[in-house]
Amino acid sequence: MRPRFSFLPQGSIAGGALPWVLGVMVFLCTLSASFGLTLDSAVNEWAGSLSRQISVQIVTADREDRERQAAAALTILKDTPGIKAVRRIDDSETTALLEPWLGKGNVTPDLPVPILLDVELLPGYNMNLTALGARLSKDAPDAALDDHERWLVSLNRLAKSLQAVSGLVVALILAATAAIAAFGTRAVLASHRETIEIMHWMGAEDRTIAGEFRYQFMLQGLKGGLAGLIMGVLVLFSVDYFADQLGRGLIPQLDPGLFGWIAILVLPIFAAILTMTAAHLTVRRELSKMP
Amino acid sequence: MRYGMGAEVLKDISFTLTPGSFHFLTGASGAGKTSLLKLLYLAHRPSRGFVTMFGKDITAAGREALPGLRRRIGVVFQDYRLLDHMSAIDNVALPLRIAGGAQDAKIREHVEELLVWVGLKDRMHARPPTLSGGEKQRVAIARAVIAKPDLLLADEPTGNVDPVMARRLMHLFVELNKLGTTTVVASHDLDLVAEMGGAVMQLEDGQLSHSPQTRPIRKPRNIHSPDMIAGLSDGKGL
Repeated sequence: MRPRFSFLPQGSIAGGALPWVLGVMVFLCTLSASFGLTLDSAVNEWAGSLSRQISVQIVTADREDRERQAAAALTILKDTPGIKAVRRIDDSETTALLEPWLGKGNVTPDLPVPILLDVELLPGYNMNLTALGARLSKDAPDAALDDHERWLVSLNRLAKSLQAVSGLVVALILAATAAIAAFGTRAVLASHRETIEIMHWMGAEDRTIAGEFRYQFMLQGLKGGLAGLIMGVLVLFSVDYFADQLGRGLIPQLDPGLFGWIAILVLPIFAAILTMTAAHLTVRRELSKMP
Repeated sequence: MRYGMGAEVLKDISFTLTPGSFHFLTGASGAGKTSLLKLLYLAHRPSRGFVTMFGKDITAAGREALPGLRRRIGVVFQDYRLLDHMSAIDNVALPLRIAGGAQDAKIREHVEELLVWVGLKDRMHARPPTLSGGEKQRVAIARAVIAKPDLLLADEPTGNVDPVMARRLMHLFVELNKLGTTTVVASHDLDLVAEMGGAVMQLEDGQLSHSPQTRPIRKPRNIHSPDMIAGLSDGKGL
């Protein structure tokens, strides 16, 4: 990789703004990629936990009938294979859920609040929800089964859209990085045209001349990329820390996954390869114009 | 030969350089001496006709064949074309480093020996911007001859040195020529040309008006052989 000897002035490439620009690019790439990858992990986790849960709502105005149907539904659910646990959401929990909307003290016992049953399925068990619904409707005709499918489909659609946007941003940043490397090489070539011509007339092979540029640009790409990565990871961990301090809510834990981390950590290498390739192609194209 | 869409600067030129021959190329300023040298060091291809060099038709040869041929040619450019960021020693070592195959210590040893002989013992580590015109010219000559080329092309190589150094440098060319290097020296110093002998090619308005004639080249008066050249002739060269 390192050329046999160097013919460019020391620091003539490093002295420019290229490593800084590359650093900024890798920094943005790190943020964008980790956002997309974390979102992917979070959606998978939400979808995984929701797909193992269903809810049963008993919606009828008559309190006694509601209680009777709830008891019947509980019995049916407990006797149904594939169900790990059934839990009735108690009144205090229901009140806590409704109070933010209805106001404190407004959730009174005479309010016809539906009874909620939280059902946890055995992992991997393929439950026939249509058959379960039919069985429930016999003894609890006002029971409504909700497998969160609509919510999951919308959530997935949103997550996939955001991931596509972050992927597009990463692709645009990489394309911009390649363009910057090509412009940077052209500028360096212009300032070293005399040196290149002398090397060329003295019989240096195109690959020897291009090799020096490849090496120098690879170093700059790696240097800028590492700086950008370090900055990016620091920012990510800071945001994650502050999200923890403030109460996470819907903000997912920073978790791009193992392959995600590997992809993020190899970004500087990717930046180095990208700049090296752009420099190589630019130099070879310029050299091919010489006889 | 023409530059871009301009008029032909060289036309109807036909000559053969016998391996090991020594030639002066003379002519008034603008006669086409530098253009002819550019054709010979493969910086330009002829717009018509053909050039055969080292048994290869240059006009038909692919780009990939040219670097190998260029490494067999030493060129002393009129404007020196030294790399300003490199010391004199590194500039002279460049052809050997491009060719590869020699150890750096050996390269430095030979380069130092040659630089001592051209009178730059104390300027080896100086960079071109700090050298005088004559010193730059000597560095450029040392760079052109260090790899013992098969063809040496020198464009006004003695233009910026005193008469004594001019003869000393011409002697270096003669010694290299004796080792088999075909030499073409473009010069307007007709006294030096007359003193040295050798074949003379005269360019006038882009045409060769005087074909090369073989006359024995003479060694300049009172000049001794450099050890570096002796080393090359003993087979100890790089």
